[in-house]
Amino acid sequence: MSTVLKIEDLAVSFPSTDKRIFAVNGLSLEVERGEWLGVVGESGSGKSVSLLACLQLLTGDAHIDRGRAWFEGKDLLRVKRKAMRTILGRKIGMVFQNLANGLDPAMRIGAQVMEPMLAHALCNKPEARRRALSLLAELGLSDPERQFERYPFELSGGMRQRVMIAVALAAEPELLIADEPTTALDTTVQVQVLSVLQAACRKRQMTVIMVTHDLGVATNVCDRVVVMYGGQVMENAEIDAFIQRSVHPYTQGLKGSMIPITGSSGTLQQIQGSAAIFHQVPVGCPFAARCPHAFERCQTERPKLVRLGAEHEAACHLVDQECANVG
Amino acid sequence: MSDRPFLQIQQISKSFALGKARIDAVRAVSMTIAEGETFGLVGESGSGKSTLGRLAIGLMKPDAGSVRASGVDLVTASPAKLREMRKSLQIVFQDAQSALNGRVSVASNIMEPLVIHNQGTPSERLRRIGGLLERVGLTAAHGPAMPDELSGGQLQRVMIARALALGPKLLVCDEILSALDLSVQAQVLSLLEDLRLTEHLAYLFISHNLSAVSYLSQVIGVMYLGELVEWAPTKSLLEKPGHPYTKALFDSILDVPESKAARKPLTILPGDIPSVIDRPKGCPFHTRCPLTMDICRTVPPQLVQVGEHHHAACHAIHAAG
Amino acid sequence: MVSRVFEGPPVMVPSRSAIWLKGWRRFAANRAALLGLLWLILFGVVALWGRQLAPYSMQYANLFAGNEGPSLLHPFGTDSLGQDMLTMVMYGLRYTLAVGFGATVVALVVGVFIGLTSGMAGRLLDEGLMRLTDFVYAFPGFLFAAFIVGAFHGQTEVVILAFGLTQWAGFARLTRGLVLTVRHSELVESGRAIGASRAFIALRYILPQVVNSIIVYTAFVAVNIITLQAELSLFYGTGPALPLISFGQLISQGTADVLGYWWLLVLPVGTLISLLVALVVVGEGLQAALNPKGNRIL
Repeated sequence: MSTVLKIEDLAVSFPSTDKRIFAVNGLSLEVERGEWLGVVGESGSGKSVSLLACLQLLTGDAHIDRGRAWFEGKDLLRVKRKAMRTILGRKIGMVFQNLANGLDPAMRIGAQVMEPMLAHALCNKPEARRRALSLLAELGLSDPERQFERYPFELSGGMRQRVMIAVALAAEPELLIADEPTTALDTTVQVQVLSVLQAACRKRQMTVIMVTHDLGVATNVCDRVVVMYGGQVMENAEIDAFIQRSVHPYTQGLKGSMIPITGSSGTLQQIQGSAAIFHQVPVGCPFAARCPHAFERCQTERPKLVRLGAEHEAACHLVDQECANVG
Repeated sequence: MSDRPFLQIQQISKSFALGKARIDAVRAVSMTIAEGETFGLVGESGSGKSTLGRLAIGLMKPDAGSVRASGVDLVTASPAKLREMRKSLQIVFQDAQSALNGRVSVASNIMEPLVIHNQGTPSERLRRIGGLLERVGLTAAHGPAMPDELSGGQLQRVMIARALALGPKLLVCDEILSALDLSVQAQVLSLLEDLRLTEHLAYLFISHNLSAVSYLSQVIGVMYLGELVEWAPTKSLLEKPGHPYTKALFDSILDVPESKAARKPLTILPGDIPSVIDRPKGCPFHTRCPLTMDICRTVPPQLVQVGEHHHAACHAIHAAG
Repeated sequence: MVSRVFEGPPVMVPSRSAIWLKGWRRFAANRAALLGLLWLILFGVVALWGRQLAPYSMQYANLFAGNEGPSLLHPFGTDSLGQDMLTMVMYGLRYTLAVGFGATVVALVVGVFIGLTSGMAGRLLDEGLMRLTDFVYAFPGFLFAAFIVGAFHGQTEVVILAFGLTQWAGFARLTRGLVLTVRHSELVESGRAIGASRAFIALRYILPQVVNSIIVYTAFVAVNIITLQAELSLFYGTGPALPLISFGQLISQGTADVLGYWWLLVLPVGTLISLLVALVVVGEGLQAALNPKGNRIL
């Protein structure tokens, strides 16, 4: 397997009214060809910021402090804007949560789906139209000819999201970055969208990075999950290891916060407090303030990722100590 | 289930003008909430659940039907009586940030209902606000803060404290979890359940999150296009969902599977939710239902009892039963 | 069952002055706005006590020292009659601020009243008032004011009314829009949910939101009126009768002599522009102070 995208030691910060916010603090991750990687964490964990940074899509005042993001031998963080335009849409497709921002409200659906193919000069117009129609049909939009002439506001949320996916897939990119693609949708529509997304990407053998706060989504569609907190990787595990053997207290807290369909109200396991915002680079473990097992070392020393299995690593002093004791 | 009904809703309907068309937000819904009981209301966006929540506590007047809370008819009650009833009927909104007054402190926000209903002396009020803040898991130190200094979860707790200030019997919770992080959702749910048990509160818990609804509720109602298509005690609904739409909702929940190999296939409900402007004739669900028969296209099914306290509006169940 | 009364340690409620202090800090954090405010205060003092503060009287004229450039004796120079330009500017400021302030107040009162009524009223009245507002908004206010001022020979009260009555439409639209937005907000709904009366909702929720935006808008309307008034004097070449003098007059006289005696144009215009810039900057400072968005800690 080859690596499609490799992020090394990425750090991003941006100014707020009085203090700087350190959103990403030394993030490293890789995604292999054909893999579905889930990036999981709460709001403020830096999951979206880090990927937007790699695509040079962060707004003006955000600052990339350090790091590399290797894609096809190039460092995306240092690629010229102009070169970036030939990568975005063509090599890397994107789907966002915010339905309003993703589509141009004044442009017909058909034109929007055709645009990436024409912009990157992949084919002529009649061919683009043919491909766009078949793409819309593939994504489960009934009567694609009719949808082709409609405007975004005439479609339901679920339909708009599928059109966004069509736009993202139109130029057949190798890597798809989907940022909370189904979060704003009702559950029945969410499943519908995930299902067509999965089928379409499998067929094209695409690599997918799915950013989500929903463990249900991540565990049902991804091959591997990276858990982020405070702009760092807390745990990185192949899906079965993630489901059955996750060790990081934050991962366990997230799992415990999932509300089971039981109907009897037992006590939910909870993480105390809410996701922190860091006004300075965390010295120790970013999760220490909320962690039920935190001890002195967690406050002072940043935990390194410790390998626990072939495809499983976690950054936690507790795990580190246990490993040392066993080993 | 407690048998003392607190809120009784009978055959209420509400429609709104949308341009030239009229859309039925709520159609002939009847339901009962017992004292100290949680009634969970699920349905997709546009199903009319938020409108029903407002009708239930008299924030909106229905076009037809009646709403009675501890024997008082909210539809015909005088404005003075309705204001009095506010003490026992409260609501918590989805977006606490915009439902709270951002120009005054947290304490002032919680004090407003006490001032309006002339409760306690000024110094008593300050102590009560302290008590309320502690009860919802904050501290008296949060009182002087301005709302924009708190996190989303903390604001939702402030909203709950404000709603609790007058000692309500029923709290309508309208999608109060959807803006919150997973870990904070769990905290708020635990708080609500704790309050129900200790303060004997009843809830009308409105959410599109079926897991949260089934965690908290003793009774669950399922809405589709403004109609209550099924309602049943939670256990009964989870074990034997009757209506095909309810089944589709359960199928759409993505639980963490045992392993990658044990994943359930992603089951899809065909089609999209119809527009409320051209609502299907007959059963509102027949355009997407796997069990559609001829009768479903023309005759609207009635809610009938299909089990103990279990009601569903579906021709297919009626035919089978 | 009697519902429980929650008791706990008393909370502190920040006093009104503490909230004002926070607002003031946000305003003062904007150095430009602070400077603008000081500048406006200085102008206000000059306008109120100009006669006492002016170095010369309006009657003073030294024909032997006409058209002199800026000097220690005459910091703004003198005109062809040997009148001290600084004195003229100080008197001009008095008139300009009186008209600007007066007309803005008239526009504010009329506009906010009509906007509030329109926003709270039923459909029919709302429609009627908004048509009227649209009419005034589209009406060439400059021509109207020019006509009135011409007809009444530039009497100060009339000028104030003429400007006020052509500039209120913006206030009316803004107010109505704000009232409508707030009226259907979750804030008002949550107020109704705790049993708040209409008056309580209007006073506690709607008014503060509306007032803040209006204060900010007022600064910009004042800029507009002062500019209009200067243009008008320029257009007529005449202004109020002495001892009142308007900036328009000064400027129009200055343009005639601009080639030889630059200070006659540049210094009065500069003063006027500094007044307008100060107003705009203060308006922006108020915006930041009253709408603390982006001030979110989380």
